[in-house]
Amino acid sequence: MVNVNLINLTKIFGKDVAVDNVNLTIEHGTFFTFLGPSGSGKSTTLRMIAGLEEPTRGEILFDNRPVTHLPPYKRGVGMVFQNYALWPFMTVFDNVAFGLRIQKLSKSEIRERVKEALRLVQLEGLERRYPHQLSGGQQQRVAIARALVVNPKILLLDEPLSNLDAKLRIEMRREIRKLQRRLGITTIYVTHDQEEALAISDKVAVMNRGRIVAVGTPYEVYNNSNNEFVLSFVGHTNFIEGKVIETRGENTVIVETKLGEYKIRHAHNITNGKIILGFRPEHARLTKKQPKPKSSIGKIVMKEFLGKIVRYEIKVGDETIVIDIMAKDDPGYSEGDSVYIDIDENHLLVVH
Amino acid sequence: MQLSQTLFSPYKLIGRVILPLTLVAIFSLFIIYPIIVVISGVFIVNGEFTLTNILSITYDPFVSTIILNTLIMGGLVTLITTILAIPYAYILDRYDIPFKSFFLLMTLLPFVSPPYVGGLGYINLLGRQGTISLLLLKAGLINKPLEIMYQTTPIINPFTGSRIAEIHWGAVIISALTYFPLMALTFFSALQNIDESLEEEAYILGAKPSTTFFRITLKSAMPGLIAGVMLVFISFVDEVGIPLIVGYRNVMAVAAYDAIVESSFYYTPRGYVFSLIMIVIGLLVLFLGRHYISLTRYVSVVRGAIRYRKIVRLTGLKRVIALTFMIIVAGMLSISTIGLLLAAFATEWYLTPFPTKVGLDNFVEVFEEYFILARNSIIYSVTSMLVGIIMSALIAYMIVRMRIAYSGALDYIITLPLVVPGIVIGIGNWAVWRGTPLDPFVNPVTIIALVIAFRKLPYAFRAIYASTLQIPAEFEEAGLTLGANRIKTFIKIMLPALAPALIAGGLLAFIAGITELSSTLVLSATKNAGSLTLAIFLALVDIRHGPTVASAIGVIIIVISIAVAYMANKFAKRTIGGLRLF
Ligand SMILES: Nc1ncnc2c1ncn2[C@@H]1O[C@H](COP(=O)(O)OP(=O)(O)OP(=O)(O)O)[C@@H](O)[C@H]1O
Ligand SMILES: [Mg+2]
Repeated sequence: MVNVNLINLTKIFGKDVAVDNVNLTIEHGTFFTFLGPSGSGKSTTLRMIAGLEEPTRGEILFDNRPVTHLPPYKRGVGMVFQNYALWPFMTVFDNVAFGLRIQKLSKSEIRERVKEALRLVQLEGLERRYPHQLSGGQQQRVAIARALVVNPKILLLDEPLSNLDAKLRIEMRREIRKLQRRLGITTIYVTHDQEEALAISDKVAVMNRGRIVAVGTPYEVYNNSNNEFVLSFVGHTNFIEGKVIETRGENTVIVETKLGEYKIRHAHNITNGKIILGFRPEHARLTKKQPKPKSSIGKIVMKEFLGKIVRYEIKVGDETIVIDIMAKDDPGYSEGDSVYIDIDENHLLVVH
Repeated sequence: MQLSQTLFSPYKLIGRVILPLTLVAIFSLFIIYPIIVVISGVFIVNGEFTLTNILSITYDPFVSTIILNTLIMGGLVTLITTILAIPYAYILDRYDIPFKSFFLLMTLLPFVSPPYVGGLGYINLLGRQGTISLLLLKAGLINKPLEIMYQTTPIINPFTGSRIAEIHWGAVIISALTYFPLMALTFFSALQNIDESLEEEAYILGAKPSTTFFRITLKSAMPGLIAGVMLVFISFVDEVGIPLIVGYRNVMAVAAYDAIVESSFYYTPRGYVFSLIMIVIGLLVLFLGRHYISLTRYVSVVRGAIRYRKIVRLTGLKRVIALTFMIIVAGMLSISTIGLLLAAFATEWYLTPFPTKVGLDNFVEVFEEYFILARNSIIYSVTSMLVGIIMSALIAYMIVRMRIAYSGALDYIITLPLVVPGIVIGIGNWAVWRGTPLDPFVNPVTIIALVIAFRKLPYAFRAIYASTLQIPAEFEEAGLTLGANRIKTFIKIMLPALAPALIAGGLLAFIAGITELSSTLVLSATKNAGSLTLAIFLALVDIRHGPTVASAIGVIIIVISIAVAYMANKFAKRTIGGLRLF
């Protein structure tokens, strides 16, 4: 188990800054996830940790020892690639045994450890198969076994589930999570799927354009961030304009918006003028009577039944607001109805 | 500090600088440097710069005649092949006709049958004492032997009335038939790649079939057609085998060779001048060819995988016309094989249309008389194969994986031998190695083996490079993270992943090596240095056997090539991504 430090880590390809001054500590034994849209620099960061890319600037420490210029084969990390990178000309056994053979272990030890690794990923009995004779999920497991069999200090996974179908993806992510818990291995995971990131991780770092824009537990990242990018990328957020019309005491202001007047506490540094407010779709309700002074009425343009929840899209002026209602509490409005939106004041965030 | 660490790590220094430079240096020593020597031979005489030699084009009538002959006959050959190939490929691509796979197979002939071997077959049938001539004489349809293979037509300058060039019909007809498959196949694969909806769109917009053909089909396939034209033209300019078979010496490649032989008796710059012109034509084709890509693609991967296409059923008169055309063309192509086989198995054949006795005597004769040359052929093709595999694997790997600088230029340099005539490379190497341990008089087999190997490198390189591109970088990266260093990942992961392509590419280089003629011709300074291809010409002028033993050698070369091509294809199909050769 190892903790990992990234210090001012930067990677520039030609003129493109792929990773921009990343500073992070990844505690030993954590399941850490880089979450971000395509091209945000997640893979590049992961590949620098693996030693497959050389940083343009900055340092990488494993347990406070610099490994920045160490080649990958001296780092002791295990990596699972998006396309699995199973060698098609080797059997499952030979794929998994590769790292052990490089270490020149005895034949019997190799056999034992490969067997053990395959048991870990529930693939006993498939040793003689070739990769193309396996399903996508099985290939995935072989790739994980191959990475784990050498007892790496850190396990790196780059979008390992993106080639699987939706159902298998959920199944596999649970298994990966359980495995990690059992082995206690420091794991760094890359995905662009926010649901997956929130479900699987101890900690999440959200990346955008090569920078880390938020770090924390999934709960913190989802609920406490007021970064506009995080709010819109991780889950959905409705943004509305507001105008401060009154200051009450130390930290409380009254803000006037299209959806009525709201009281905001903990409003540090907010004086007069315009601000942007945000709220999650689940933090509001719909009502037929005006809930707050100066609320404008909106019109339901779309209603979607999504199983556990019902999603309404409501047009207020020229803005579209998304509201999620628990299905059991659905007031049963239909498309075309006029309704008011009542935001839960405690969950109204000041974005800027 | 970090920068210096990056630059001077020993593995990167070796991988990105030392190894590529070494490989390029070795390659250049046998290809680039000799070309430079040939070029400088035109401009530098006795250590002094001079333009006299190059200006001889304008005042030496021999030089200008040879150049004009070559260009005019090359143009004629290209024209004939184009006129035949367009309908041939189009019918093959679009219409439902019988014997389709046979007609397609005929386009693959040049892969296994070297031009001079095919030429030999034509002479056996169409020459003065050939089957057809004798049959026609017997039938009383002609009263003199057929002269078509030896006739020349002078070209007269209308202003001065002087003879400025000539057309040798034997060389033109044999070349046109020999290169026809190149053109047909290039054009055919271009047609195959046309998106059918383009044509359908034109029909929907009301265009007539003929309008659609000229405006859409032909235009879309133009790059393929242009590549074919360049390929045929340059093949003719470089050709020594066909003119020699018909006994015609007034074309550039042969005249360059003759001039070099002469220059060991007295100084003549003509060999260098002809070489320079051939180099210029070659480079022009290379630069234009890059523009139309397919030239280099042709030698490596003829994408035979026939896409699904709506096949039109021809009926009535149209069907008869199309089929007749195909049969005539394919018939003309196959008569060379018939002529070759007739002679190869003839043990008694003298002034009769057909052999009077058949047997295997000629093949026995080959091994008794030309055993050393046959052995040399094997040495040359095996060297060609090994050098092809090793150099190609290393260079392809460096270009694809090591992010070395100038990889584009490297690609260019390796393609160079495809467009510079073997005669030129032979002449250059002759000049470079005289008086060294690799002197053709001292060590002919070694120098010929090396020159052939490097000349034929592009054949292996193309196949191996294409496969290297298809192997995901992650294959090796996975190995790196598991504790293997670059050398180990190359050996344990890259090589096995490439194995099918290495074998296929190696076999291609083998075929290219066994059919090589021109460099061997120049460099075989001693009697025992030649190869089987040279043995054909030795046997041909040996009055004891005439064309029969020569034809037997031709058959041997073709059989070996077919066998090897078949194996190459087998392996190529198994490469990742299903690279196909034929
Ligand atoms: N080898 C390279 N050469 C040049 N640019 C690169 C290279 N690798 C990555 N980049 C660029 O760096 C940026 C970050 O790429 P990276 O692969 O890290 O993104 P990512 O977050 O993993 O995206 P995705 O979700 O699509 O995998 C992109 O703009 C990409 O184009
Ligand atoms: Mg990525």
